[in-house]
Amino acid sequence: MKFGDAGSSWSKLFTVGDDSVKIVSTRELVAGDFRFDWGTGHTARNRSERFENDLIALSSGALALVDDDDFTVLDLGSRDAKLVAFAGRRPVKLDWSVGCASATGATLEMLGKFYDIDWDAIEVEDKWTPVTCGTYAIERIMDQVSAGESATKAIGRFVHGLARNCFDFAGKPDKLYLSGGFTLNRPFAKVLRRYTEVVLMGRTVPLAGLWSLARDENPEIGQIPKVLLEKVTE
Amino acid sequence: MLLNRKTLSEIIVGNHKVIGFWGAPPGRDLEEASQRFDGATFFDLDVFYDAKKSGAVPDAFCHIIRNCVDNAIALGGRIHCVVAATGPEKCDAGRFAARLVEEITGVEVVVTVNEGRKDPGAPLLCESRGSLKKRIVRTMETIIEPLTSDEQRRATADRCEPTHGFWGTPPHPIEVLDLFPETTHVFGWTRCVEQGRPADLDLETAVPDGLPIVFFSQGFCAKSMLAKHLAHKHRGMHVDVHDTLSAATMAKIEAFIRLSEVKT
Repeated sequence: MKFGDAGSSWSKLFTVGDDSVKIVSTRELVAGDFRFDWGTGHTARNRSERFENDLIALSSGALALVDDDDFTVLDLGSRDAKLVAFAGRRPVKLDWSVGCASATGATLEMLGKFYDIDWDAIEVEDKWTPVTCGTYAIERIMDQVSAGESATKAIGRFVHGLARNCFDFAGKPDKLYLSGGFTLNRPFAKVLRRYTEVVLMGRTVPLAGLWSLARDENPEIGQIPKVLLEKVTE
Repeated sequence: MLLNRKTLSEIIVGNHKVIGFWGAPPGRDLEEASQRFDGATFFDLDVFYDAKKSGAVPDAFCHIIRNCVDNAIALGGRIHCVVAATGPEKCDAGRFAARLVEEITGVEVVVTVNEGRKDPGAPLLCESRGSLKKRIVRTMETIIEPLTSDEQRRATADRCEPTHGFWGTPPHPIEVLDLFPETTHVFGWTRCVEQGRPADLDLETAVPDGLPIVFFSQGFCAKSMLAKHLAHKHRGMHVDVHDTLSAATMAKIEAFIRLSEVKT
């Protein structure tokens, strides 16, 4: 049985019996003949026998992985941000910011490549760049760099602005479970912790959700494999 | 009184004039218009018929009110008169739209206020099992064509325990309702219409505790204030939709329905 979470830039694939999650670029996925038994993420829609929308996969995964009654999980990937807040393990807030691609991972990835950034060298300070629109933010970074500022500092302020936005988008919770590619971005996690307690869930929460949904229909597939439950090691 | 179920284009190219209406005007005003115009049929101007944009209403405005104005302007001389709900049972925009339509088209606009019946009727369609879209559309039709005794019997027999709730006005786009299961009960203004009290704020804000409810508001509608407040108070989900139903909004509703189902 094959599970796939096909995002805008990266796709996460898992086949029953594997001991790791395979990560391929979505370009590669689109060019190939990948098919899933259970899929999520818009690129998986036409490649899956069973398709679950991103919020359902994320929520199911979060419920399987988190024991708290009341909690908030934010999935931040390359294109969009998805949010689910639970009270009494029932969803009370579901949100999905699809429109503004420029404020999330893809922009950061492009900036990193453009300035050849070592993410561990990013300096996060008290100042931040407002990220009302990523295009303006990029313009500001470029202005700062051309005025003599270091790219690591300028991008650090952008990352800080992004973390503030995410904190606001999540409803300013005391604790935030973070899912998606951004869990691997250390400066982002570090600056987000200025605002709230952060638990890094890694990139496999939606896959765990798909497994959980598949198990509801067919209990014989058993418990969620350990590899889908592993949080990010810090 | 009879409802005209033709499309806007069919009426424009046809030979018969209609009586336009919006909201839920009082029965006596509708009857009076029907008598004055020899039993002409009624046409619901709230509904989206893809009328040409008149530009009379700003883009950032409630789509239902835009429907009312654009439909009336598109029909122009094909309307005998418009029976317009303009009181607290509709909204301020209903009152303003009445003025706009009268000035732009020159058509007579009968300005009405619906105080509602003394005792609320039974919420038959709101609590019966079946397609939510069909039930809500039929509820709106009852303003002109009340349920027949057969329909009342059927709706009573089909009453179900709810797994979910929908609160609000009939939405634009109406396809929002296709996302809900057949066991969805209806609350808010739509329920008030079925119960004959469209201006009853107490009835409009009454929802059962514990039932997962989607509180819908049309983009730029003042009722969004109620929807947001009630969603927070009753741990439901507030959804605000303007012109189109985005994939994200669909996903939110689908996820809320799937994850919060009350098992019956």
